[in-house]
Amino acid sequence: MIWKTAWKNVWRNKVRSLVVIISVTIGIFGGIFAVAVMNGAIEQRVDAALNDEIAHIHINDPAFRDNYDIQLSIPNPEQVLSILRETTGVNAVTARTIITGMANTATKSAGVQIMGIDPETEKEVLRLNETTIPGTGDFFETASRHNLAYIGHELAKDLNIIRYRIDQEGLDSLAAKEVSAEVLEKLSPFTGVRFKSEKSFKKEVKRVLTLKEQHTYGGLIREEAWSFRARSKMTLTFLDKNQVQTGAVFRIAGIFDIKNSMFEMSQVMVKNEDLRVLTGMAPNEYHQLIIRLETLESTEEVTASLAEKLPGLEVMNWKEIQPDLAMMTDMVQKFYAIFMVIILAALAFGIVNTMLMVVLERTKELGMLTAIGMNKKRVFNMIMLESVFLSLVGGVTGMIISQLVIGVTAKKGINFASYAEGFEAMGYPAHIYPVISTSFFITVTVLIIITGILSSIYPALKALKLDPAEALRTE
Amino acid sequence: MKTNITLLVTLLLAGLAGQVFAQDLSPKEIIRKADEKFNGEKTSTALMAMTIVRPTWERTIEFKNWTSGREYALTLITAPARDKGQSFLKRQQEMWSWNPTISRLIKLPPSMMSQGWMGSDYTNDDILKESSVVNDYDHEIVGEEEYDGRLCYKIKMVAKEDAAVIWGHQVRWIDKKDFLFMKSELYDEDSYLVRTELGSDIKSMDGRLIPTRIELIPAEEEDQMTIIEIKEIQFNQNIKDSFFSQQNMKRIR
Repeated sequence: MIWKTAWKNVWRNKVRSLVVIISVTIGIFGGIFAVAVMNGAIEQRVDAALNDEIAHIHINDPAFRDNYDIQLSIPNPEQVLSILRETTGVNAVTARTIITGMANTATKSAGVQIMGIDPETEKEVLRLNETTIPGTGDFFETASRHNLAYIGHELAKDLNIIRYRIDQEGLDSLAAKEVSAEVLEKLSPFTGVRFKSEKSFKKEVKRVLTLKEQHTYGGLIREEAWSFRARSKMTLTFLDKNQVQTGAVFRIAGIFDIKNSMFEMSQVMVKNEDLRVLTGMAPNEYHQLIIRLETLESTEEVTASLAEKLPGLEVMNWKEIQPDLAMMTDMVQKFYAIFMVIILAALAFGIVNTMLMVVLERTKELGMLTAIGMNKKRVFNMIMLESVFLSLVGGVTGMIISQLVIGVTAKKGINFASYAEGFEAMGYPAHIYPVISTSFFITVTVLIIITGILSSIYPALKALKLDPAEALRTE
Repeated sequence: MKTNITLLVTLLLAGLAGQVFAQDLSPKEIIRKADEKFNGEKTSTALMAMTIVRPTWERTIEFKNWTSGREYALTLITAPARDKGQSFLKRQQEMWSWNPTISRLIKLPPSMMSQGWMGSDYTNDDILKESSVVNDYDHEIVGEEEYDGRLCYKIKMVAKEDAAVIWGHQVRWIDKKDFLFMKSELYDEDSYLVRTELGSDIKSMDGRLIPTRIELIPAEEEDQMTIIEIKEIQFNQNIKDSFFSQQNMKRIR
C-alpha cells in the first residue's frame, strides 16, 4: 500500500521528478561507461602482458635478473624441464637465452635485449607470433640461410627498417583511392623523399595539408607512406660467453605489433641455434624458462610448489615480474566502486534538495495524513521509498543506456588514435574495447538504493517534526 | 755472373709485371692499396683536432693518438681543459675509457659502442671497425672522375650478403696516382645516402702523402658534421704492444 502511494507520489510532479531522474541517469551512465573504458584498457593490458609478453611464471638463476650475466645459465636444464612437465597446472614451457646488446642499422642504433628462442615451444607459451604485422614476414616460419630476427614495430621504426616514404607509385595508388588532385599536388614535392621518423613525416604532411585534408586523407597517406623492406638487415652486437665483443648480421623475419612501445623497443627475438653459434653457449644452456599455466587462478599455488621443487632457482610469477599488473587487477575493482560512490554522493545532494522541496510543498498533506492516523514509521517509509524510487528509476535507466552503449562500442572499440603515442608508451592499447562485469551492475544497484535511503533521511526527519495541527493550517 | 743476370732479368720482369699491373688494377686491388695507405703502417703517433659542428654550437677537441696495426690504439684528449686527460684504449675488439676527474676506468659496453665518440658523428663502432672495406664488399669501377683537382677512380662497393656491415653500398673516389680515399659516400640498403666523408688538404707528412682534413657529413641531419684535422703524424715509431695497457692510459701525458 505504502509502496504504491510512494510510487504515485513520485509522478505527481513529473517535471521535478524527471529532472532528478535524468541527472541520476546521466551520472550513472557516465560513471559506468568511464569505468568500462578503464576496465577494458586494463583487461587488454593484462591480457597482452600475459599472452604476448611475459606468460605466467619465469624460472632463472637467482642472480640472473640483476645484470643479465651471460654466465648465469640454469644448471641441469633437462632435469628442471622434466620436473616442470610433471607439475600439475603447467600447460607449456619454453626455454630462452637472454643477452643484452645493440641493434644497428646504417642510420640508427638501439640498445636491446636479445632473446634466443625456440619458435616451436615459444608458440605454445606466448602468442607473440600472432601479432605479426601482415606483409612483414612471419615468426621464423620461412627457412633462410641467414640469421633471422623477429622485432617490434617501434624498434623497426626507430631503426628505419620501417620507414615513411612517398614515391610515384604511392602517389598513383593514392590517386586510385580517390584522393583529390589538389592533395596529390601538395604531396608531389615529397616524391622519393624518405623521412627520418614517423614524427618528421607527420610534421611535413601537416605543414602542407589543410586541417580538413589531413582528416580526410591523413590515414590513407600514412598507410601509403608506411613501407617495409623485406628481409632488411641489422647487425646485433653483444658480448659472448668469454666477454669478447661479437656480432653478426640478422635479417628481419617479421615485425610484431602489440601496442606496447616499451616492449616493442626492447625485445629482439632470434633463434636459439643462431645465437648459440655466436655466443659459444652449449646446446642445452638456457637463461630462463617461461611457463604457461592451465589457469590463471592457479598462479600462486603452482609458484609455491615449483619454488619448493626447484631450490636454488628463482621462481617468479607474473604478479612479481610486473607488480603494477598485479596491483591493477587486485585494486581496480575497489577503485571503480569508490569512483561510483563519489558520483552518487554528488547526485545524493540533488535528491536531498528535491525531497526537501517535496516535504515543504506537501506540509498540509503530510499534516493531514498524520492527523487521520498514519503513524510516523509509515510517513518516514513513504518519503524514503519516494527517494529510493527516484534514484532507482534514474539508476536503472542509466544502467540500461550504459549497457547498450558498451555493447555497441565493444564491437568496434573506441579508437584514441590521436593519443596513441601516450597510451602505447605506457603499454596500454589506444584502441579500447569497453567491458564491465555483471557483478559491477549489482554493486551499482546496491549503491543506488543506499544513496536513495541516505538522501531521504534528512527530508523525512523534517516531515516527522511537523506538528499535525499546525501543518493542517498552512496554505 | 750468371746469377747476376738471372737476378737482373727477374728484377726487370718484376718491374714490367708491376707496370702492367698498375695500368690494369682490379677494383679490389685499388681499394686494398688505398686501405693500406690509410691504415697500413705498423705504428703511428699523431696529433689531431676534431671539430664537431651542430646547428646551434660548435666545439673543437684536440687529442694525441697512438696506434699499432689495427688492433691497438690509445687516444689522449689534450684540449679543451674540461676533457683534458681523458683517454681511450682499444685492444682488439674491446674498448676502455679512463676519466681522471672521477678516477674511473670504464670498459665500454656494446651499448655505448654505437654512440658518437665524444659527441661527434664518429661512433665507437667506426673506431673499432669490425668490417673490412676489402673483404666485406664486392667492388666495381664505375668510372673516373675529378675530385678536388685530382683524377680519381670511382668505385662502387656493394656489401656482401653475409658480411657484418650495416651499409647497403658505398661509392668511393680514390686518387689514381697516390691511392688516397678522397671522397666516400655511404648508402643504406634503400640506397639512400646516409653519410659522406671528404678528404682534403693533401700534404706530405713524415714522408707520406695523406689527406690531413677529413669531413664527415651525415646526410639526414641538417647543419651537422665532424671535421678531423691531422696536425702532425709520425709513422713506424717503435711502439710496443705493451704500451697499450690500462696502466698506461692512466699515466700517459
